This record gives sequence, C-alpha cells and structure tokens, in this order.
Amino acid sequence: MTSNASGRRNLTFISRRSPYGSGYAKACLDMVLSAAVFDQNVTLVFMDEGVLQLLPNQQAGNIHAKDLSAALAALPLYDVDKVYAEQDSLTRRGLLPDQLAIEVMLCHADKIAEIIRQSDVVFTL
Amino acid sequence: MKFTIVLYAAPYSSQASLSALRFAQAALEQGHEIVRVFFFYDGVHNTSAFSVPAQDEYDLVRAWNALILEHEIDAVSCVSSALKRGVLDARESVRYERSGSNLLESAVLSGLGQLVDASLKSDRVLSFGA
Amino acid sequence: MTTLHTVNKHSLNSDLLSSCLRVARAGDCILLIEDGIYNVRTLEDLAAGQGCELSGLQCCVLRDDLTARGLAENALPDFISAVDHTGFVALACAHRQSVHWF
Repeated sequence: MTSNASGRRNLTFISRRSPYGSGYAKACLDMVLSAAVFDQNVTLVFMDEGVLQLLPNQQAGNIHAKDLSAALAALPLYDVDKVYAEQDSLTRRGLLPDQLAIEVMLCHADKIAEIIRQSDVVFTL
Repeated sequence: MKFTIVLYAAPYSSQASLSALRFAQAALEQGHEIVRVFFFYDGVHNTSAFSVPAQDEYDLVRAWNALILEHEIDAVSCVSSALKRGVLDARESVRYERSGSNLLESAVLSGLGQLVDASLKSDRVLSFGA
Repeated sequence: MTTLHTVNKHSLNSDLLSSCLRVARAGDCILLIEDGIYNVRTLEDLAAGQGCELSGLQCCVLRDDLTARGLAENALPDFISAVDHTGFVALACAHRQSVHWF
C-alpha cells in the first residue's frame, strides 16, 4: 500500500489503558500528536480502560504527573477531530457521556471495526 | 513487502522482544524488507549495550544488534523514551553530564516523527508489547 | 480488506481477547502468541458467551509459543491451526491491517 498523492495516510490509535498507572496512555497520546503534526489523517479511539482517561477533575499534580485529560483537551488544536469512545466501555465503568473531560463521539464495536478496516495503520496501546 | 516493527517492551521482562526479533528474522529470511525498527517506551532497553544476560540466557540485545548490522536496518530508539530510561548516546551523555553512554552503535536516537515516517513508507506495521 | 489480530495474554488474566473478538469481523485472522496461546482452551466458550461468530474467522496459534508452554499441537481444537514464524509473516502479508492486542 502506498500513501495517497499528498502523503497522507489513515492512522488509527486505539487507546486501551487507564492514565498514570502505566505510561501507555501518555505514550499513545504522544504518538497521536506526532501523527497529527505530520499532517496524517488521525483517528483516536478510547476503549476498555482507556475511557478512564476521560474522567474530569484529574488532580495529577498530586502524583507528580501531568494532567492527561488537559493534554487531551489540546487535540482540536492539532486538528485531531475524529475522537471516539466506545459506549460499552464507558457504561461498564459507570461513566456518563455528558460527564467526560473532553468531547468525544460515542460508538459501538461495529464502528471501531469499520474504522480499523478503513485504516492504513492501527496502533493499539 | 516493506515492514516496520515497533517494540514497546524491554528485553527479558516479557516475551515481546523475542517475538519481535523472530518475526523480523523470518521476514528477512523470506526476502521482505524491514524499513525501520522503532524502539519506543520500554523497548529502548533493547538498545542498551550495557545489558549482560546470564551465561545460559539468550542474549537478546546482541541478537538485535547483529540483525540490525547484518541487514543494515534503520534502528531508531525514541529519544524521549530513551533519556528517561537511561539509554544515552555519547552526545546526550555529554549534554546531560552523565557518566557514560550505552546506546548500541547500530541504533540512533530520534523522535516519534521517525515512526510516522516509517508508517508512511511501509506496507505493514507490526507492534510488539507487554 | 481484512485484519490480522494478535493476542498475547490469556483471557482469564486480561480482557484483550474479549476486546479483540468485539471488533474482529468475518475474514479476519486471530493469531494467538506468547501467553495468548492459553486461549486455545477458552476461545470457543468466550466467543459464544459474547455472541461472536468464530466460523468466519481464521484462528491460529504460534507453534513455538504453544509447545514451549507444554500444550500439544495435536490437541488443538479443529478450528485452530498452528503456524511458525514464516506463517506469521505470511499472515501479516495477507491481511491489510494488523491490530496487536497486548
């Protein structure tokens, strides 16, 4: 497979881990932002424990960490506007869509499967 | 096919490094090309020349080094991951006034842009982690 | 276009396989590697429990990871086939995307 004429590819990032307990959530975001800076067509999907990154009121400074949800709020500045959260993952964890730290598009597994099929590269972290 | 391999895990702490290495070996044996191996997150530990496995243990770091050199693979360790984990090349060691440098000579430190770049040049991107 | 999924943990220890099954679609391949090989015993029941149709999926296991852990290739369920690393590479070539669940 090759890039299209503009050198843009569909890069999808599936973020599955909760913040702070491991560095994977931040690592995933770093990859998302890099891809965006390089003008790629980026899609970000939060599923499983990854939806916990969307909890508001994170006092990360208390554990000498940088607030990941605040970093997520910068996604629109990088033109990353395809941001999804799996509804089932939210529901299982008692998260309500209107109480999340950032705006996301809710989706089900079918949509994630479709996103994967339309991607050139998928990174799952 | 052109492959990029991304490795997120340290040698020995999980099987990921061996899995990635064996995939790379098999791909090369079949005549495929490896565009880049990108060591990210804990994966940067695979590029530390200071690794000393037990005598009866498989030397993963040397195995990666040999593969990279034999096939002239572009091996990149993510600089931000590497620095905070204490994997430094000579330049960073001087810059940050550390007492030594340990980056494998076959690898270079660079940014995530190299992973994005590799993703654009490859037919397939394989990831291994723990 | 189809997808190669790799899963490297046991379903009794992790929700990786469950999540993989949610988004895998007909024509995809699930390759069990590393500790994921233990799923050869649980895959069918897990899929049934989630209402996932396995018949449209190709299910494989990495041979060396299976035998290293004391499981026998000749004891595999009919719908799971063992591959070596050459086969792993072939699967990566055959499927347009690869999603690595770890």
